[in-house]
Amino acid sequence: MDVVFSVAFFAAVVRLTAPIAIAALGEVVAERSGVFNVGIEGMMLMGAFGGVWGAQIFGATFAGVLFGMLLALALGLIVAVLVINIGLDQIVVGIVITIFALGVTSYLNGVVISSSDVHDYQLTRVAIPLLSDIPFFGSVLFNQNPVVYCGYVLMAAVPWWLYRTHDGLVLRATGERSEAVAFEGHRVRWTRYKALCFGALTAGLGGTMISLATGGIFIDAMTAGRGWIALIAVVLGRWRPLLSVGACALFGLAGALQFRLQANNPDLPVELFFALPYVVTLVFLFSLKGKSGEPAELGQPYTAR
Amino acid sequence: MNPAALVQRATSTRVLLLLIPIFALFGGLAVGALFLLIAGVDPVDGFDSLIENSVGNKFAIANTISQATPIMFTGLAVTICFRAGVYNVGQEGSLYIGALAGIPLAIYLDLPGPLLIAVAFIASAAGGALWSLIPAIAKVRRGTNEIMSTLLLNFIAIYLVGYFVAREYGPLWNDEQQNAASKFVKEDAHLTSLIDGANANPAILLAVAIGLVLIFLLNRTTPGFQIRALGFNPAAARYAGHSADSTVIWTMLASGAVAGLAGTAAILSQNFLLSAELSPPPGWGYIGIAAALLGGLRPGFVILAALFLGALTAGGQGLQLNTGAPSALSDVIQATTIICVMAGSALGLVIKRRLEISRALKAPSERPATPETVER
Repeated sequence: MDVVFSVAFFAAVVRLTAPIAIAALGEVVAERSGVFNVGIEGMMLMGAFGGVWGAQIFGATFAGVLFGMLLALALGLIVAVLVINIGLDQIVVGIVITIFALGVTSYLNGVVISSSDVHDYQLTRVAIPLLSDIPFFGSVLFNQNPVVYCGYVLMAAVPWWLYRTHDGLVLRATGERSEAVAFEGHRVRWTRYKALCFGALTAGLGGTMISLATGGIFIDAMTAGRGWIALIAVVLGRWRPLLSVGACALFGLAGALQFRLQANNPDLPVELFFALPYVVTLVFLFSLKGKSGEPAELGQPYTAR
Repeated sequence: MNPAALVQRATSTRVLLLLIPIFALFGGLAVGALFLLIAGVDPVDGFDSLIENSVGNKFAIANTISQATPIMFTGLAVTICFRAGVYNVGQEGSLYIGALAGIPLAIYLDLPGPLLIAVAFIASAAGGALWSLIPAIAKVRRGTNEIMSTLLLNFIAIYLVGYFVAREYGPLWNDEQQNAASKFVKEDAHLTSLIDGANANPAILLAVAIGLVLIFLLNRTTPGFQIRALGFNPAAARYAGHSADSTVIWTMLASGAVAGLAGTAAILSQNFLLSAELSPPPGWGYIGIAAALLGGLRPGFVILAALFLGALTAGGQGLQLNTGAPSALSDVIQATTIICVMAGSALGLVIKRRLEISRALKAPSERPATPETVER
């Protein structure tokens, strides 16, 4: 049992949770403003692809991360126009944009990614000087790659902004009663635009970690549904930022367990362990009763002039 | 004819409805051309290759039909649910489980040909329906969001099938070879339709038949009315006495059953065995959603959309061989076309409404003479 719950194990949990949690934090903001960003899976995928591509174009991993976020943002803007300006069904647009992202990344993967300098650009771990010396927690939390540290910042910034600033209050109100918000003189569509773009940027950021922190290559559809997991985590977390991160940690924990259990039980089928994180998430999803905390106007287009 | 009347004619609903899909097609193709340029391929060559490999000769047409068949099944399956406002996206999972239920029967049972095929299909439909039952009950009993539950179940289904055909330990694994796949289905169960040497999947006829049944069901029966009512206005439907719960359950069951047929239909006509990579990326289930959307959730148009998407897929396969541009281009064109269609329709409605308003606000002298105006 000690072998299972070691520093390496929990460090792996953090590493597996981070991409999904970062995307989920952005998704909380988007959904709280009333936009159901189902395209998050496609945006994470664009982030993963853009990370590798950008790193190759500009010759630096950091540039790759920014480029990945940019590609995800581009996708987010398309969704924003379709959903906020034209008022198309948010779920349908999200699904289609994900299919689009799957096609585009798969296509460009064969065309623009140079196979020679693959593996060259990777997100490596950076130990934070004093903090990483803390026994146990230091090694687990503060010896990760920089994107994970961005995640910590977001974990503090998003709840603070959402619950303790006026703009955050306006955003939350936009998702509950956009009519009232408009009456007060705020611009509903612009707020939702910003929220959706933030969601797209975070999805892209999380996505870059999926490719750049695991070998620096892009494989078709490598997000493997993690964007959907982030979406589900927001529901499990009752649309609250830190609870949603906790829900992501469930998935990360199951993922880390998957490797451990697999190693300790080589005679059990590997598919069982692959399916484990999804089964765990599903069980928790089924255990929810009702929809408490869901923003009242989630998914509804804003139609007044 | 004066200009005002011309504009009125040109923007009549029927003309708009006809023009929008055409513009949408151009939108999709324009983006496709752009991506071809990125790959350094001459768009003309690219489209030439797409057309050649989808409808250029009988082998291409047969391939198009075969590629379209599973998409037609899943597309119709999506239509059943989406019309009711139930966002069941679990067709991918249903088709995997359907294949898992039906193909082993076609491998191991000893029955005469047509009976064996029928048994396999029935088992597949049952398997697919059962897989959809789980999220259906969860939705009805606990209000679980069906998008999320069905998406998760898709992944679980793929791993489940992967287990059954896994090397060494999979119960269905064919130990006479190395791949993670099952034994071959019996010769009798092969669904081949050779027209001059080209194999077109005859199961497409079954899919079309299901589509026709669906048209009849949706438009002329009470259950169909309940589906449409639920999709259009759930509150009104409940007020009218329809049971939303029962409609949700049996639309999901029906959807799962139809989707369950997709994988089996493809296998019995093309590769004749069950493997871990049953549904080529992005997955027939998801392309089915694309087909349903392109068809505006109307079964007749969904059938046409499935044929179009099948042609794109077939064309894309040849594209990679001929020009080196990855076959994923067809997915890009698919998604872009849908976006253009949806955006176009919505914009068309906006334009139409604006024109109606401006017409209604016209100066009195242009209105037709009525007793009031004449008297003045």
